[in-house]
Amino acid sequence: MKLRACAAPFLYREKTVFSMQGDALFALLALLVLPCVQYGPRVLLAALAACASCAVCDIVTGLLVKRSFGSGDLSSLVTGLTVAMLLPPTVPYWLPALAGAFAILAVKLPFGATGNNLFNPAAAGVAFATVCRPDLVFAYADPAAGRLSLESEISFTAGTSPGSILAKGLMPSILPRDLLWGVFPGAIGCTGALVLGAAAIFLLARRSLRWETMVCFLVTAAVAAALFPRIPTTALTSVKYELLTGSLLFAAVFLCGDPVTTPRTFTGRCCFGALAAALLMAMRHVGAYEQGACFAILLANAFSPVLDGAVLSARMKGVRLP
Amino acid sequence: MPFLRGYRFEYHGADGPIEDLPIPETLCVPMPGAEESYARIAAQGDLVAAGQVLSAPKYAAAAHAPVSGVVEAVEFRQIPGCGHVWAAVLRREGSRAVRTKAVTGGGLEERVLCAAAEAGIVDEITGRPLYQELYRLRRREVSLLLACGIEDDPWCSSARAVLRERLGDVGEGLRLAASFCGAEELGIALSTREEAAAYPGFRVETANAPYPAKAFLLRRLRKSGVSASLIGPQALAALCRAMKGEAQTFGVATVAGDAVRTAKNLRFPAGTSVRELLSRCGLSEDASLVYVGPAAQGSAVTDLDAPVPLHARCVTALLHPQRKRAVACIGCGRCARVCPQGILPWEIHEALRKSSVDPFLLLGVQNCINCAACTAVCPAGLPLSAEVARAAAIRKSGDFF
Repeated sequence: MKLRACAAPFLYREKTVFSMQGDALFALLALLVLPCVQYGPRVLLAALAACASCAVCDIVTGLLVKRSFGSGDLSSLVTGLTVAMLLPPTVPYWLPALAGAFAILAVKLPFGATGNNLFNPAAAGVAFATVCRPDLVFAYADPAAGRLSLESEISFTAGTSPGSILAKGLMPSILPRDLLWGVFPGAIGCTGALVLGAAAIFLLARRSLRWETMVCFLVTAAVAAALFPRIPTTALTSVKYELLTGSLLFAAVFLCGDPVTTPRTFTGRCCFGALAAALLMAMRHVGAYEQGACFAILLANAFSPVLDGAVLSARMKGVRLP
Repeated sequence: MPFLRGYRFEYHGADGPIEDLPIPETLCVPMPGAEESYARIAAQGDLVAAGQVLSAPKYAAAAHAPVSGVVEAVEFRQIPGCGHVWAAVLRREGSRAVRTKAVTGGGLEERVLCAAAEAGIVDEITGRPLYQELYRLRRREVSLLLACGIEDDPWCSSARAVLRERLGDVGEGLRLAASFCGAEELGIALSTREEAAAYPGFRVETANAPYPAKAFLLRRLRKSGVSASLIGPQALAALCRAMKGEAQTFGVATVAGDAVRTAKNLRFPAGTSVRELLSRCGLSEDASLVYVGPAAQGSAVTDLDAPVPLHARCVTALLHPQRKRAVACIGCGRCARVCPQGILPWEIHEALRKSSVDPFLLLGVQNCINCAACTAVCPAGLPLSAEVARAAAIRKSGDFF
């Protein structure tokens, strides 16, 4: 009998970093199902390109710099899948790969890998791709036109995304059923509101996601959409289109749900959600791009340590803040 | 702080009766605190009777011989839960016993204190001598004294078993302790409300909360304006018998774990080895971790011949302990949510990583009750409770400039 000597406590951890990342990965994979049915296996290849690029960058850098086999967790795969979800299904395969490589090499590893990065790597990767090739990032296919071919550069029936219609001050006309099931032009993982909601419930039930950031983000976005509609319509219709189209819901669940780049205090996280949503809605009003979720999240990420610091100094002064 | 969640675990306590362990041939009785040679009364070759004093240390509990026998050696060894202390190796021989006589003289308070100190009683909740604990409670002017039947350990059930089977002694001990501390009210603290029916006539407080339930209960009582405190039922039962002159030489521990065939509550003499306790319950050969004491604060044992201290409460053998590989903090904030004292362990972790530590930024570390809930929930496997303890030491030491 070989007995181990280890230190207390001998209580089982209900969650590990690995299992949290596994949950996120599972939820992201579930998001791939609907686009796969609509656009064919092309979306799988785009996701694979992003994941492979992230994993290869992580492993090669790990071997070269730290002489270890990557960071040893699933975070690079989560980053890769998140990048792919924010890009359209028509994107040539080199773009997700480039965005993933940028996310890992420029945003994650220089800051010290998992747990130390200031900015969300996936958001930064997609922001980089958006700035480089906005024509490719906002080239959405019409889901009614059927499956896409598997070549890297393809010609396709272009669909007009509700985001661009809203940006012109016009009213998109999408059936409520299509809106919920994601049958309208958009990015791979950002359209199916029902699947996104299910993923959020799954992550909340598995205790891998905190609710406060997501709720504050959505509430602020809804209030902003109701008070300052971009189209001359009722507040409820404005809220419906602003929340359910574009990458807002995806950002609420997966980009605001990242514990590393969001504040660590409860109050800080609430403020973070509100700040990110306010920035996003402001960008929709005055921004040049039709989707600005990544930029809003990146800007809010920079405020995470500031928000934490404010909460901590308030606590030091005796204010009872959670 | 609001939104506290605590740490939840699956409870596998053994609800059987307390069984007597047959007294082993040799016992290795720990003599904590007896570093000075004059504190060690037992010497090699001495014949001792059951109940005879083996050590009389200045600041720790005295040790007594549980059975009559010959002191074969007095050695310095590591004892789980006590660190490196002197221990008397006792070989059982004969059946002599010292004549017990009830504590007399002085007022009741004086007699209680004398009995607690002379019987060498250790409070199993804190691991400190009962007489020191009684002094502390008296200084804090507690108004409600509770016998602690809360089981906030996945495998331990000894406190419940002692409360159930020795209720008379525990109740009498509680009355004596309360008379010393000046507590007006007595009561019993339990894990669930269903158990309360078994204790009619007692004020029952239930801590129906996740780990650390004791801290959450005291917190709730403090908020409602009651200054309460918990004392272990074994110590209280021993206090009752100590008034009649009997020393504390037996303890009750739960022997459990998934590497143990039948979990049992065993009454064992001081100095029983871990092996004796485990083999009584059937230890699997595949066990890879044995620890003495509660899961949060216990210590792992690699040598099964090490003796179990009387305040151990449980001995657990596990087949597949979780491996802990520490990764960087991901900032999930779980540690802050489970802390019953409102400390932010992640912030302490960050502060200690810096090259120069500012002790004024280590907020609330001196309030840590060492429940280790933060370490238990940390998904990154960081030793947060150890870091908080280090921060408390830095803050206390004063040599930080």
